[in-house]
This record gives sequence, structure tokens and C-alpha cells, in this order.
Amino acid sequence: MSEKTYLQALNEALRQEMERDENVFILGEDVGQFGGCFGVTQGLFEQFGEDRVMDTPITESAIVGAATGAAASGLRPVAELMFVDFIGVSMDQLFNQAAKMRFMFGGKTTVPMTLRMPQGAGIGAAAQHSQCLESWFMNIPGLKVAIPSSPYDAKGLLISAIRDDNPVVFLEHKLLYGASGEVPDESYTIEIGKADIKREGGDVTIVATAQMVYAALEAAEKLKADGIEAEVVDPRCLLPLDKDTILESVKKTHALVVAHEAVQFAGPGAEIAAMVAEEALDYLDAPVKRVGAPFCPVPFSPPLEQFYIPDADNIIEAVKSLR
Amino acid sequence: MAHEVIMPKWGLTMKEGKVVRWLKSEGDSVEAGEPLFEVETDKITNSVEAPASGILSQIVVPEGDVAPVQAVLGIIAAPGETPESVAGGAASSGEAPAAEKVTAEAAPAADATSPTQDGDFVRAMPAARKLARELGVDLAAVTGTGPGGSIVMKDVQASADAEFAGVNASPKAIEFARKKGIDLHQVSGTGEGGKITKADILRAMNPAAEQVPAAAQPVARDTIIPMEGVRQLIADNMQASLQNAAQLTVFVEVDATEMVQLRATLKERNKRNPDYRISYNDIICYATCRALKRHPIMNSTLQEDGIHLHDSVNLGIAVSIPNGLIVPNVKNANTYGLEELKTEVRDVAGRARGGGLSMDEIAGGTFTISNVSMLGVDGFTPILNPPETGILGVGRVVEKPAVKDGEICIRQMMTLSLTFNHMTTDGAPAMAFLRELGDMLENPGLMIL
Repeated sequence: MSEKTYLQALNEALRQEMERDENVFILGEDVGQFGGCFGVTQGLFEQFGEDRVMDTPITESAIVGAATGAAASGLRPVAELMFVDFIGVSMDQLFNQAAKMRFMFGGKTTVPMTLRMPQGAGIGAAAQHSQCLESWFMNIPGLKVAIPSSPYDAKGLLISAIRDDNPVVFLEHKLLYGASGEVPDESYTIEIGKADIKREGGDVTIVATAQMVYAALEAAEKLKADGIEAEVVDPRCLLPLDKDTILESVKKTHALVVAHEAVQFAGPGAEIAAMVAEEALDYLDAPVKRVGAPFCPVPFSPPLEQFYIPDADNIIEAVKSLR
Repeated sequence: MAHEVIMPKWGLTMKEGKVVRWLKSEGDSVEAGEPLFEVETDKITNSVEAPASGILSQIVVPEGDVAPVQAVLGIIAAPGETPESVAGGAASSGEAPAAEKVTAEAAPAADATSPTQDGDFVRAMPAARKLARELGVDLAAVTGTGPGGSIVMKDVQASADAEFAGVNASPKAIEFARKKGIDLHQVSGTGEGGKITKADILRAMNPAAEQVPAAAQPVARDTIIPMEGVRQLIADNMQASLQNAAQLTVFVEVDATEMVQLRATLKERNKRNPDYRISYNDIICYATCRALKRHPIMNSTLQEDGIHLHDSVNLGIAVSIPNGLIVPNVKNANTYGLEELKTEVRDVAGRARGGGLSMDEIAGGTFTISNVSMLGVDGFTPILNPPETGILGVGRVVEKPAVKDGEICIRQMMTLSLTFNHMTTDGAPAMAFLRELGDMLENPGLMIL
């Protein structure tokens, strides 16, 4: 066990899985000698060579299509898109091919691929390189969606994703690559679809994903000064969603705030809020509040971008509006 | 704000109540908590306290009228409020038949899940609504402190707590009273320092007023019957009986051949009446009344000031009902002839099974008979019905070889079991009573002495 960054945790997961299973290989833009746009695949090209760490042309449809085909033929590809924003051109390969094959072929083939995609605002990359699109994937049966917040979760979930026989969309928030935390050196897995309670509290449940987990924890510390104990639940995966942990927490606290960086309208919070309303309405002692980005493209102007991204103050405001 | 005075619900089976008496007139000022009117149900009569202070501006249901539970019986207005502003058309509807008016006003309030109150939606959070249902709190009377003035859980809890303010009761008892909708102000406590316990509430409730739903909860494959209602009541009473009396049971085997013959004779005499029925139990009841008059100590009750010997026999009859047991008694049973006594016993036993016993018919017994012959049992050890001194268990009548006049022959035999309170009397008097009763049944002619 030692202190590692989120980026190092991902790199370690990839390395250990490639050492363990020769069917695991990496493909993507500049993932080879360059080590990846953000550096996640650093050193892997040197260790495993160009056959297992493949640089591709700048064509996302080819990356996702090749990964789908390779997975269907028995390999375990880990594909990287430089930004989730580019998924658009490869959407057919993902949602009509990768997500469907196992079902349409009656289970005769599986698609054990992992699709890693950085997402999120905060680095001044403007509207086409800053979005959070997790709710797109949540609506497609056949996919799994992981969205880890901590280095520990990132490593365990990536190893589980690689070993999973279904296509897993693995979303990494760019601002989290530098986040550090305790990460075991050995290989380990985290069950896909299992939430984690990042902080316990009895007064309000804050369900938060990715870097909003950190905003929620900061908000919880400030709320404590006002005598409000917030429980921070990190679903870690949005598909499948760990409903039980969320419901259990709401049944304890009787209040729910959902925080994510994705646009609030029809974002993941909509599903979580609706699920709680359906299954635990009479445990709610306050309206459900969502904290998400405003309904507009991510601004390029740095002050506007900062305004756009939800933060701890937004979460505190939401919690206090319930009381 | 005007407050509605409603027909209380005492116990699960209470559907309606009769307003026996208004203790205030229209226009009188009332204080919250002071007795306002009296209600009579098929089980009990009790006074009901004013829910709020103010002026009794309108009596909706007059004395002598019956109204369903939750129905609006009257209106208490705040001082200065005019009656017209309290209930729409209240003043002018004086001519309308009261029953119609009650039905119309009761409809919304009777539906516990209805979100409306007087046509206005009460804004409350779902969890607060659920809690209000559980605690029996009327949301319309709760002030909301949540977002936008909406009612939240703590508002409901505060309102429920206020209802029990000043009541000396254990938290468990308050919880129980809430569930059952019992007004604790009407229950006297027997716990430490007069504290009201759950047992006090159970005692205050009519045992027949509860129908325990046979809800089985699948826990660890066992079926669990909750200890509540009649079951809990019986458990409490039986345990209390055994703890508070020194119970001893004596048995006698009786040659009932003559009693069987007496019944046959009576049936033969009435053979033209197809409805005529007489049972061994009727004859035993009759004989017991005679025997009790000759052994007054057995027709007694042990009370705080001593042993009360009773002139009259109030004869309790243990009646098995679907979810338990109830013991109504026939007052002055010793004054009836066999035919009359038979009718009286049938009457209370029938109503014990079908409902409609008054509180009075359950209280005040002086001796109890528990007949288990229909179950094919002989002797057993009945448990006393406190504060009574004796209880007679009656076994089956069965043909057995017996010795009569030095010869073995087949006779109709029956076992009697008498439990008595050794605190009140001793073995010899109790056994003398049982022997005398046995003699009467062996030789019915002795009853006329």
C-alpha cells in the first residue's frame, strides 16, 4: 500500500492485467510511445511492445469498431478515446454493435472490451472537449458504466472492467488524474455496480459522482459546522446502479441531494431521483434536489467555465434549501 | 382557527358512537381538555374532552344521535370568530336533518389517506404524511416549518408529542396508545406513581373490541402471531391471575347418570317444541347456583378491603371466540329457574360470539364455569377469573364401567375440576362445595332442598 495518483493507479491496473493475461491489449490515439494524451499508458509500450499497445489513426469509429471486433473474437481490448466528446462518431460501433452482440447472438459471443474515456470541464478545453456524457451510456442496455472518483476505486474498477465479459464504458474525470490516495500495490477488483459510502451521516444523503464526490465531501465538512451531518454516497458505477445502498441511506436520512457535473436536465441525477421517488417516496421528508451543470455548452471563458462547474457551495445551498 | 370536534375511535372495531350528552351548550366557552360530551358505544360509555379552547359555536350532532367515527360532531371557534366563518352554511343548515349533514361532513375526514381537509390541500412531505398516518395526527392541525411552510416529520412528531403532554405514561404505553387511537386521559394508571402502562390500556379496551389480523411475518421460517389485542390481553390476565392468587385445583368424578336422565325427561316433556334445547351445562349452571348459595365463601371476590361475600350469583360463562376467550356473566343467576337460566346463559354466550356485549356484562362476575366437554376432555386445572374465588371446570359425560350397589355396571361419568383461591378460603370448604355440587348432579332431587 502506498500513496498513488489516480493516473498511476490506472497505469498500474493496465500493467498488471497485461502481465496477467496476454489477451489484454491497448489501442488508441497516441497511447504508444507518447504514453497517452494525459499519460495513463506511460511505459506500457516499452514493456509490452507495439503489438499490445497500438497507436491508431485519428478515427474513433475505427478504434471502437476494432475493439468490438477483437473482443468478439476472444481478446480483451482496452480502447482509449482522447476525449469522451469524440464518442459521437463511433456511437454506432458502441451502442448498436458492442452493446447488442451478446444479446442478438443468443449469448454465443461476448464482448469483453473496456472503453476508457476522459471527460469533464476545468482545463479550459472549451465546449467540444469538456463534456460529461455519462447519461448517454446509462440508457443503453448491454453496457456497463464505471465512473470512479478515487485512485483506489479507479484501479479496482479498471481491473474488474477488463475482466468483465461485457463492454464497460470507463469514464475518467480529467481533473482527477492528479488526485492521490492510498492504493494497494497488488492487483484487486471492485465489484461493478457496488456503491461506496465515502462519508457517513444521518441528516442528508448526497449522492455524488467523480470529482463531485470531492465537492460533496468539502460541503459535508462545512455543513458539519451548521450541525448537519451529510452522508456522501459514491455510486462508482451508474450502470448497473447500486439502488440498495442509495435507498438504505435515504431511508436513514430522509433527504436526498444528487450532485454531478453533467448537465442537470436529464442527467444521471434524474434517474436516481426518480428511482428514489418510486421506491422510497414516503421516506422523503424534503423534495429531492439535484446539483448539475446549467443547460448550456461548457463555456471557454475561464470565469464562465468556473461558474458552470458545480461546486461545494452549490451543494451546501441545495442541502440548506431542504430545511 | 376553528377546531372540529370529532367522534373518537376507541378500538379497531368501533364504527359509530352515540352522543349521549353534551356537557356544554352552543355559545359556551370551553377549555381544551375539559369534558365536552359523552359517547356511548356498544362496548362502553365515556366522556370526551374538548380538543381545543374556544367557543362551542355549533353542535352538529345533537344528543341521542348516532354518528360514524371521525364524523364532525361540533365546532369550537376561536373567541371573536363568527360561526359562519367556521363551517360553510353551518348557521343556516340548522333545519337540515343532522344525519345527512354528518354524512356529508364526515366523508372527507373518514378517509385517512385523503390529502384534502375541508377542500384545502395540506402541504406535507411524504415521510411526514406517513408518520402522521402512523401516529394518528391530523395534518390540518399541524404547522409546517419545512421548505415553503410544508409539513415535515419533526412537525408531526411535535404535534403528536403535544397530544400526550402531561400524561403520566411509559413511552411504550404512549406508542401503543397512538397505534390503537386510545385517549390516555381516559385511562387510569396502575404503574409506579400512577404511571399508565400498556397493561392498563389493554384493560381499558374491551377484549372483544379487537380483531387481531392473522398477519404472519416470514421471519426465519417461523410464523409469528403478534402479541397484541385479545391475545395480549388474555396473556396479561392469565399471568396476573396466577401471580395474584394461590390457586389449587381439586377433582371429583361424578356419576351423572341421573343428570342424563333428567335431561332426557325434560326433552321428552317438550318433544312437541322442535326448538326446545336443554344441555347438561344448563343443569350444571343451575346446580352450581344452588350449591353456591349453600357455600357463600365460594361466591366471593377478594378485594383490597377484604373478602366480599355476594348475595347474588353473577355466573360467568367462559365462551371460546375465534381469536380468544371471553367470560360474560349472567347477573343474579341464582334467582332464575332452570328454563329462565338456560335462556339467559344462551343469550350472553350468543352475544359473546356474535358481538354486542356491554362492558357491564363482562365485569362483576362472582363465579365462573368453564365447560370443555365438547372437546372430549375430562379434568383440567382452570385458571381463576380474578378477583373471583372459584372456577368450575366441566368435563365430558362418558360411559364407563362403575360400581353401583356392589355391582359393576355401565354408568354415565363426568369429572368436575374446581380451582379455588387458597388466599380466600381453604381446602375443606372448597371441597365441601364441590362434593355438594357433585351430589346434586348425581341425585338432582337434592337441588330442591
